Amino acid sequence: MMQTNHVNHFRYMDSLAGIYSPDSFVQTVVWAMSAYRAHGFAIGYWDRMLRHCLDVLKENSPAAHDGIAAQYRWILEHLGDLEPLTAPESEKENAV
Amino acid sequence: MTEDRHADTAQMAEQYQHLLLEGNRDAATRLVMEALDGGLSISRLYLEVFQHTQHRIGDLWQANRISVAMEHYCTAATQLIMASIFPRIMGDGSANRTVVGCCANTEIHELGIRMVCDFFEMENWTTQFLGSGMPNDDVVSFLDRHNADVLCISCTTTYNTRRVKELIDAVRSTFGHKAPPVMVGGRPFTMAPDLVSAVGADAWAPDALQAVKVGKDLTQ
Ligand code: B12
Repeated sequence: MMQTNHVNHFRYMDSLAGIYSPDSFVQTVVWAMSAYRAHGFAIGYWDRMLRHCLDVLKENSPAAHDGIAAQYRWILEHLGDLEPLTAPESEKENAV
Repeated sequence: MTEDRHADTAQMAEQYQHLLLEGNRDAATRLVMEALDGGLSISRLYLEVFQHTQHRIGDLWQANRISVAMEHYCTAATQLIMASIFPRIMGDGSANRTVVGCCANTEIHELGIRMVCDFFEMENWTTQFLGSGMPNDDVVSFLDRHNADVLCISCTTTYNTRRVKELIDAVRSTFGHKAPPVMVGGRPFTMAPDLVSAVGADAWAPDALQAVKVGKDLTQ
């Protein structure tokens, strides 16, 4: 599932580079986090994955890095808000 | 057309979903056939039972309550039932309008555009359903041979939105001012309607019923 997520993630970033809609971007981020967290991914996964991607791109493809950095930074800065919003049902129940 | 006497589609949708999730396709088929014989209209069956159930199935997958295999099973069962109902909806082409419907290249979700084409069929349009995963060049050469009055392009996954624009660009660069008007639809456009102009479409509609109304406006 992680492999599919990576493939779909980069397909999405490619699509976003061609057609940008802030509404669609935010809703897709919320969807991806809630779907994958329900399937066992930890919120810390995005923190590591996105930072790692930024590092790799900066080194190997500065142009791609500059195209993607603003969106990735937005997600990283909002992980605290996204965490409760995308929590799986089981975690929400435990939190009550 | 038979009068629509079927009141409670919400309850029927619950039952339909339950039967499919139990793996009981045959009972689900009987439920549908009995409802149709009892006066339920096909448009309500499609939107209030099939579409509603498919969206619920997606929510259940998203929440990790059903597997991808179950998602496939439910979809295949619904597609089978829709195919078996097709003779009941087949039109006579008397609207003298042709619609070509396909998914964007790499998009595999095809029930939405199937439904859109079937609603046009019920209004006596000639419908050419091409389905999912269509290469852009093939759509273009198909359009060259069949005079489409409207081209409908469906996209369900957000990561395929760019592919919609590429197809529209390919059609416009080939046919110029003779290109048919393009209507788009599917989940990304419902979530963020600003995508409609971003991909360069002429129109969009949130569901199959509205699609036919918009299709008529586009061809007036
Ligand atoms: C069935 C299904 C599948 C089937 C598709 C089989 C097939 N032959 O079509 C299978 C199992 C293969 C599948 C696979 C995947 N799926 Co899927 N799938 C669905 C599901 C449950 C239902 C889709 C459907 O049949 N809808 C029924 C139709 C009738 O509704 P509709 O598409 O909304 O169409 C109506 C309107 O939108 C509009 N419309 C549609 N097209 C058009 C076009 C025009 C021109 C117009 C005017 C109107 C219009 O009119 C239609 C009729 O009223 C959706 C859930 C959902 N909410 O849609 C998830 C969903 C689309 N899938 C999803 C995902 C993630 C996947 C996978 C990546 C992972 C997985 N779940 O397996 C893979 C993708 C594989 C790949 N290679 O791309 C996500 C997408 C999220 C996103 N951000 O994009 C969803 C939303 C599930 C979820 N809630 O998370 N899937």
